[in-house]
Amino acid sequence: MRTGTLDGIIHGGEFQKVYDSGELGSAVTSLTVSGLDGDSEVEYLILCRLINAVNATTFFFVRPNNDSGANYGYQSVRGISSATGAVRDTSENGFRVSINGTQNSLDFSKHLLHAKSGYVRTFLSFMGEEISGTTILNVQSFGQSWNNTADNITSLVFLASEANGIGIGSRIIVLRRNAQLVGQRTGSLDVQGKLKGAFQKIYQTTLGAAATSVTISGLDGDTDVLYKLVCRLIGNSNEEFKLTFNTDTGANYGNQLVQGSSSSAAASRGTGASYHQIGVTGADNEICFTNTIFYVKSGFIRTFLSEYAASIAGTTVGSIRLRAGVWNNTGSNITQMVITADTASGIKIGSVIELYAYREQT
Amino acid sequence: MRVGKKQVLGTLKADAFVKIYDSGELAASATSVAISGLNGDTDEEYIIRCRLVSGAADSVFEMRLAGDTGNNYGHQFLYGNNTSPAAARDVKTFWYLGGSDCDSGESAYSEVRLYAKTGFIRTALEITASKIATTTITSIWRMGLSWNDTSTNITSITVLADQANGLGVGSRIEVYAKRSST
Repeated sequence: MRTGTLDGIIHGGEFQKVYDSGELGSAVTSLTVSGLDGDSEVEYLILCRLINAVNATTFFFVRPNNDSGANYGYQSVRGISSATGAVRDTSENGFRVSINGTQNSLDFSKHLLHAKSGYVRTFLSFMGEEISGTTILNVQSFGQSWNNTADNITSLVFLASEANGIGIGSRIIVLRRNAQLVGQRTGSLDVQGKLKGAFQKIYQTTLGAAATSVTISGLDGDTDVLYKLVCRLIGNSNEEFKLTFNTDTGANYGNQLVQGSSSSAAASRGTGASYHQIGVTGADNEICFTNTIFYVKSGFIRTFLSEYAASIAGTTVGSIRLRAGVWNNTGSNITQMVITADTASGIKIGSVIELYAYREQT
Repeated sequence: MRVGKKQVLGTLKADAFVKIYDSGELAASATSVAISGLNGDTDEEYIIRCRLVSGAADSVFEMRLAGDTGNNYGHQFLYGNNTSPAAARDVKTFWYLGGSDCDSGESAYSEVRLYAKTGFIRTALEITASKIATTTITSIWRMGLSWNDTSTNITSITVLADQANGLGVGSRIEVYAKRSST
């Protein structure tokens, strides 16, 4: 059945919003997401843009059922400026969301929680931390556990280690998979409009001819809030794929990278750049597979997380890169994204570019 | 259209990723689980999420596409193990789902995003937390992956262990496909 926009609870196997804090109008110490049923919903996707409200190092956590015991562990890998690092901890008091040591700077993170009881609960994380201007202090990826096998997760409590540490403008979005067999039963639905409360593809192109740049226009970042960009890019030798917003090619972009290339782990930081790198290829016709999630609403500097497998040929993958990015612009509505190759006609035939938007419920 | 709760029993085509396979939690150990009936050329992209519980000592979890057992799977790893960050590159007859051997009862949690359409070698991005027991996660892995096959339609994905019955009770595998409106 063809339908228009769907705005309700859709049990169709997709991730759909269960909680959205909106941008906070006042600082808080904690936020509670209640009414969950981890045993039925199984997994949660969590997106956090957090602003440190206090002049102190603030740890941001999320606790299932507000369990404050030392029942959590993590293993991280990270990049800070040019240093790589790794940490293991087996006695945390919550899942780590992010850490921030500079007042009014931003963290952006995404997390996937396997919530069903019966086994230790597991949590995968990707964070860009302590972001201000065009500087990102830290990019990290975590694997985490909650050593509780029995309790159904009925709530998630997000909290700061410092009083009122979750600052004005912070936003937390939780998506669940609506798996229960409830509601009106339908056959197939072919949605011609928007699917509210979920990520929906709004742009796709497969290049039939090489291009130097691809512009995705007609966007409204202030309405959409979140975008996901997924690209399979085919490039020239020593190709670099660059992302810019609107028409801004000024020195307004920054990033923090951690990467693995052959047997070398490395990190680097870029500030005052004129673009955000979303991919590279080292030789002609190599492939880069890249995935970026953005918090695009104006009001604060824009933050994003990129992961890409670069310089792929045959069974050789040249590098795996995690790059947190920032666009040092607080006021402009994002109406277009531009992907540009470093060389003429450097986005080659067969390249695929997709953009997904988060559709807010009304 | 504002709707109440809808339980979509058919296909939800909404330019979104929709779950097309769920093993449920395995009630008995297995050495492999095959997800068949796929059409990578139509779906174009898959997201595979696995919470795998080891059913045998020293189990390594793996994934194969379209039944290919050749030496066609490339990896670039970035990982953290305790206080050591590291990187490595490797070619295997499978993709790793994490890189640490799991003893019985230990688990791994993975997400793989796969660009499946033919015409070019296939590419994927993976994150795995590996060898998890109580509050200890032994390693976190980020991987770039390639499958050196440009022409075979991906009609199946197989998740397997290198040890007999290595996919233990409680393991769960889910596959999401991109479903475009028409």
